[in-house]
Amino acid sequence: MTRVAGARSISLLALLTAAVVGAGAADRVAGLSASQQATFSTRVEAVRVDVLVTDRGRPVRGLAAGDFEILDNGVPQQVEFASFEQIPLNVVMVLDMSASVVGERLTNLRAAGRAVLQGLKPADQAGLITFNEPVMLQSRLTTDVGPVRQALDVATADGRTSLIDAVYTGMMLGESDAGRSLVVVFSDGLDTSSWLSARLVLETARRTDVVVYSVWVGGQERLAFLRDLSQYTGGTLVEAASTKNLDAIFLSVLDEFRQRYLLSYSPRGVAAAGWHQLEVRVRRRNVTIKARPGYVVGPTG
Amino acid sequence: MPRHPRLPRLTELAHIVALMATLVTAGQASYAAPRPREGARVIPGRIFDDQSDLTAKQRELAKLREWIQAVAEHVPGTADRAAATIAGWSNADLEMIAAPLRFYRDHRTEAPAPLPTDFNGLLRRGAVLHLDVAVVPGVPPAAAVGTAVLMEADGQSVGTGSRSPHWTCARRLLDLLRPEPGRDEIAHLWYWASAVFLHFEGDLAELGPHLTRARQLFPGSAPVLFASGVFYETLAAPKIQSAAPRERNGEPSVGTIAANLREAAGYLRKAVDAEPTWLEPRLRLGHVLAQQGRHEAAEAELRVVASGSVDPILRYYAEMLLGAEEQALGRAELARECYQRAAGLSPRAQSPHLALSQLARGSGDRAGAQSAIDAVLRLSRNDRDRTDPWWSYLDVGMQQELVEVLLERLRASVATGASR
Repeated sequence: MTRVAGARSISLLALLTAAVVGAGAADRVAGLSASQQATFSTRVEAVRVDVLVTDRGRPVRGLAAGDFEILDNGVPQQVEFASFEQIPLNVVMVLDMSASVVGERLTNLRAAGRAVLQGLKPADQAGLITFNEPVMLQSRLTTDVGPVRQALDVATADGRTSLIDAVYTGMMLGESDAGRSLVVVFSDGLDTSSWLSARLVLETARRTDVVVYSVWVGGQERLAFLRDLSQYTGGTLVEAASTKNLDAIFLSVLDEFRQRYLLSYSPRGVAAAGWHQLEVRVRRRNVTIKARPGYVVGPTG
Repeated sequence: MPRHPRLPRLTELAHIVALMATLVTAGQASYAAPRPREGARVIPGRIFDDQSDLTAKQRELAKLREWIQAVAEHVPGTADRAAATIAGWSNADLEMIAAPLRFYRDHRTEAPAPLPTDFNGLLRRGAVLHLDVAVVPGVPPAAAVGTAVLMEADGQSVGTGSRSPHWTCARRLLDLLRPEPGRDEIAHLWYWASAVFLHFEGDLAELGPHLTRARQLFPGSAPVLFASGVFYETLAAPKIQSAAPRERNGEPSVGTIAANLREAAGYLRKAVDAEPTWLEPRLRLGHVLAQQGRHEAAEAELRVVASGSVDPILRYYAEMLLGAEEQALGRAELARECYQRAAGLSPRAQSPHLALSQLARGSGDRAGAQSAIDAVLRLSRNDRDRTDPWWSYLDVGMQQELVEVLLERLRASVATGASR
């Protein structure tokens, strides 16, 4: 994840300010999508890090910016902002609709998607991507979840699995809006038809501030890609034996994401380009922290 | 899910993977034809030295006559009565054919009345009959069963099936050709057409022994070498690797990715050397080299294909794969140009736009990445409108058109009896 120069950092600032003052959906950063603004620069204006803080499994609330320490490549940074559960979410669902997701699995998957939509707040946005061989945009990010629900209801399962292509597309959809994005990936199969390689998409994952939660139903040996994806973005991989309680799993993902802090800092004392190892700590507290392990700035060789 | 119009979707997208090592062992090797024993008495139909098994021998002779009649009556390429008759044969019935034929080939004067004088012609038409039993729609399912195989769909094991013993039976017949099967043009065509069909059907379990025997007979044949290269390239694919059972050492029964890529590269290189102007082996060689991390070598092969092919699908593959190699070699601008040309060749394909987006994102160009991904997001939400040749890459060397052309040519050849 890198924050780029100029407008991109302004949009972040606008978003954060809006969140601090409790602005609602009307104050979303509409019109400030990354695709319209961003121009590449290796200069990093601001970095944001999504952080989950738990104590014996329970989210820790009430922390402020001053409670956090961030080391960027080992150099302590000044945390300028910490928000908890105040910023509207962009939730992109990336759902496997290949041939293996038929019958009860499809029914349960639809129900899980609907549960997420029901769990959204008015200012939150939802987007939906389904995939088998084609990656299909069913809905761009929108606060109007009606069409998203309709798309879920008519989705059918067939064909092979372009999981990697779909995950990449989901991350890009998440990045298309300057808000705080969660990508929820569901799959039960091995990738069999993607063009993009796992390596390149994981490299992209190290650049994005989108957080990916993966829900997997299937054998152990095929988990590597989703495990790495979730780790690189600071998300979680949920392994399920069946789709029976998929709605509860999806809701728990949404709930956990809401319990995260969004931290922001302007990097100082570190080289701009390359890999930035991140370490996040909470002062004077023995807590568990989950955040992405770092981010990449600039082109890779 | 529609695929590229030139590459119709298989019924169930099932690849067949051998349960055990049968996949890469020659089916021919286990067959040992009985030889006349010294002092044995010979009667039409079979050799035997004991009157006690006369009934069995007579049954064998009757079976041979039935087979010869079916071969004579069969109209190649049709689901006729002759094909149905042979389809109804058991494994034991099929086992009764090759050995007496071998004997009569060498003892023509002992042959039963219906044995045609054109013995090679009988063998070739017989091979086509057994191929038709396995291939032609409408022929009843074969009663005989082969070794168990695992069915794979979308990278997952989806049950078991069995190999058709008619392929082995046909290969045994062609082994009897004189002066030698390796010099028989129709036998070569039979192996080529069958290999294309088996690959198109995803019958990898049968394709392994089929190609092993084909390479023994036709070691310099570009089509056989090409088919062998594609076979091993396919075995290296994640979906096959994932579905294949594990050996005791944890390795897939179909061989490791590295081992299969090594085999594929070897055969494809030989195919390219044998037929330098044939671009498809070169394309696949480029892809295999790329998977081996030999990017400079891959780029060189793919560039030849991209600049030399007039087939839009082949060019699409070449541009995409070449783009990936340029990207791997750090030449982003050249990669971008390749992907853009591929997008022009197949406007409804998502892969070029995904590649362009990822290329931009990898260089930190978020706006460029968003612009390219928008092209994917704008593609139709209707399955039927979506197509991308990439989805059929592992099938494309073996197109349905080619299957039909080769089978038609083969059937016409046995009808006219033409041979080298």
